[in-house]
Amino acid sequence: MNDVWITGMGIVSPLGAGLEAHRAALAASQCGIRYIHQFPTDRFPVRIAGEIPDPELPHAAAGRTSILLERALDQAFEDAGLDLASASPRRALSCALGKQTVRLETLAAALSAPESDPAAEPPRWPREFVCDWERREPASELDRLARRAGALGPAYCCYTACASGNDALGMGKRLIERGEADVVVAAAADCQVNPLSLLEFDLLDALAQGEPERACRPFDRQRTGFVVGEGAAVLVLESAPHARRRRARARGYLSGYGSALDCFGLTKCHPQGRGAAMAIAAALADAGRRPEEVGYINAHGTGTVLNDRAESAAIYHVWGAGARRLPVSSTKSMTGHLIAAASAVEAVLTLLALEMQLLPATLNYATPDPECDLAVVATPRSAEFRVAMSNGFGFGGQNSALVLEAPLP
Amino acid sequence: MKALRDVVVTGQGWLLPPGMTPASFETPLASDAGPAARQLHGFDAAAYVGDPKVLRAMNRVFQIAAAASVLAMRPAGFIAPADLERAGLVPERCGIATAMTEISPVDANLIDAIRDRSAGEKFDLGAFGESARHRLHPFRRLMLLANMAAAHSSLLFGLQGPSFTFNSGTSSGLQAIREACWTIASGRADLMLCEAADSPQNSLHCHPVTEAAAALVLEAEAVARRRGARILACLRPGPEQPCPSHPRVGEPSSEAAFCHHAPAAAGLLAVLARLPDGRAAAERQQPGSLRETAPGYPPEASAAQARPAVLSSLEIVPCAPDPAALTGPSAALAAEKVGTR
Repeated sequence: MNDVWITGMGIVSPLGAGLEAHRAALAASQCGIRYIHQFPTDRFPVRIAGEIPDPELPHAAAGRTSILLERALDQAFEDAGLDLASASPRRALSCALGKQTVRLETLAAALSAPESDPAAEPPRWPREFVCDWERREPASELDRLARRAGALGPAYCCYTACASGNDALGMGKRLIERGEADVVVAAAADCQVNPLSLLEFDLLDALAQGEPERACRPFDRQRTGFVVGEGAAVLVLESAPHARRRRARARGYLSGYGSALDCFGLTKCHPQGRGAAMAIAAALADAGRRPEEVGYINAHGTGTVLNDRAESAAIYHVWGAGARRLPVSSTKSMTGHLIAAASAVEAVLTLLALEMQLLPATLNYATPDPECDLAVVATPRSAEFRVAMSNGFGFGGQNSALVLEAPLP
Repeated sequence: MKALRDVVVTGQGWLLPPGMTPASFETPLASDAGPAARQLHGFDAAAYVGDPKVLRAMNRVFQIAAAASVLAMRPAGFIAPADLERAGLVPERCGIATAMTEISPVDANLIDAIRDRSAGEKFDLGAFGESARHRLHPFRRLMLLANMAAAHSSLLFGLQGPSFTFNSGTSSGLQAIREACWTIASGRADLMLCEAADSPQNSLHCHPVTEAAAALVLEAEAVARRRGARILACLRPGPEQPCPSHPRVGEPSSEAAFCHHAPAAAGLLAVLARLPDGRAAAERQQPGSLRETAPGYPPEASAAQARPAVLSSLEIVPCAPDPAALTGPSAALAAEKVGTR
């Protein structure tokens, strides 16, 4: 169960950049949700987000994701003691990249261009507009990242909505288990804090509004929705023999991965968390762990009424009455919901929690919901635990779960 | 290490513009071929997805993906969600592997909304935001997510097992098939539906995109034989070849992708081209894209069928049509099949 080591981590989120910033944020229960600064919001329906407060970053349609990925990758390679200048066919890449978007002003300008005819077959657009889109496609990002990471082996890019990060890590785990790579760079990035994406989420009536630091309240009875965030995480996965040979330090182990579909509806999750429970059970079976060995769950915990209720039901389905004693928190209350990058960022935060032996807080958890009768951690506290779970569930009934373990002493 | 299970193909389906076959898909279109040659004509999504409410939630690329899946699943014996259990399968052990390209958000809905707010004047983001709720489709987000194709197929066939959607460009299709194979071989699922689609209506590309969809039904061999399924081929996933982006040119899937700019469907079509039905236009197939493997596996494979092939480390061994097959519980369901190609 310790065949896949995690030997390096990099993270950029609304809480800051780098592992040290995130250790401090977890310990102090910081909140990265704030008023949006990228564009004027006085007449815009969404005003808060887990925005990375860096005015130098470009728009999501103009390379923001690439920059965040590069920052997280450089951190992860430094943490793993790997050389970015070297390249190897035994190094693979498994990515999850956020839904690509367009800048509305650019689209409006493209529509006014004389050569535009979107009704034609095929549609006609200014060449620069289409080339910009192609340059930012996931396959192009994958190519850039593979070059930067020296990954000459398989290059996977998967998209399973909010479960994408877990699935990228899961695919990486499988590549190592099958002997197809010694090192897998598992990366996820998403920048949905942009006008078009925020409007689309708003139309689903899924977003929480109000005071930034108080808006996101997973598992609380007064919860009203999630807050969109942005960021990137990179985890270096390594086969145990390869890591031992180069005397790498394990930050933890990725011991279990499971995936399952709800098969219930397009917009709503299964009310009893059927697919989520199956994904959790599959991850535990993959890790060879019994439910009672898990000491902490970093929940998907978006803060929507239905999602938190379904996740609670799934946890009860697997743990039974033991669910009341199992510490659960949602770090989305600090970072916002990073969508395709969410579960990769949460995997890093879970591994930091294992390292610090700290149960992170669920911010704004004040009023328990009888339909989410879990041991929700409201304030951070110390605990002894070696095995943790991180959940990621997405639109379309996608569910995936990871089992993460602390390194052996 | 746990012994790996054998994986077989029990269903295949595709939708291609008139005159194309999976085999001919690796041949470039004539240089004077117009856009019409790249598009499906007369496609009626309602023939495959009966529920008009569901159809309204599907964009074109999801519709043709679902249609290809229906074409593949019906002859394999699966028409409605209850058919999995009727065939002795467990829905939790039946999953989906999908290949999709990035779906463009620039659709008619967004174009109309932008034009309404910027006609003859500078685009005003605040005004657009204020009016968005009245102008944009409330579920437009769900029509843009690549994994929603899997969600639709999950609901159509009752699949509740593992699900992965790849959007790795031209590698996506073969990655989906390989991961589906491994998922079955390692015992994590008994059946995986592989599906892929491309449509110019949902993509933004510098080059014209050919509209194409393809699907394969993969099963554990023991499970397929137990239920009397018709076995079309055996698949064996080998180690993934080193596959950085640029050497992809020259791989069979890339040849197809570059010929027709259908990056997601190309990988599945490349496999379909190596199966008996997909070779209808085999004489037009480009040579040099296959590496032969040792013949003779399985023993019933004969020279009259498609040849064994290795495609990006995926070994494909077509099987002889077995007249004794389809005598099990799936036979009655398969007899109900309609409109396969």
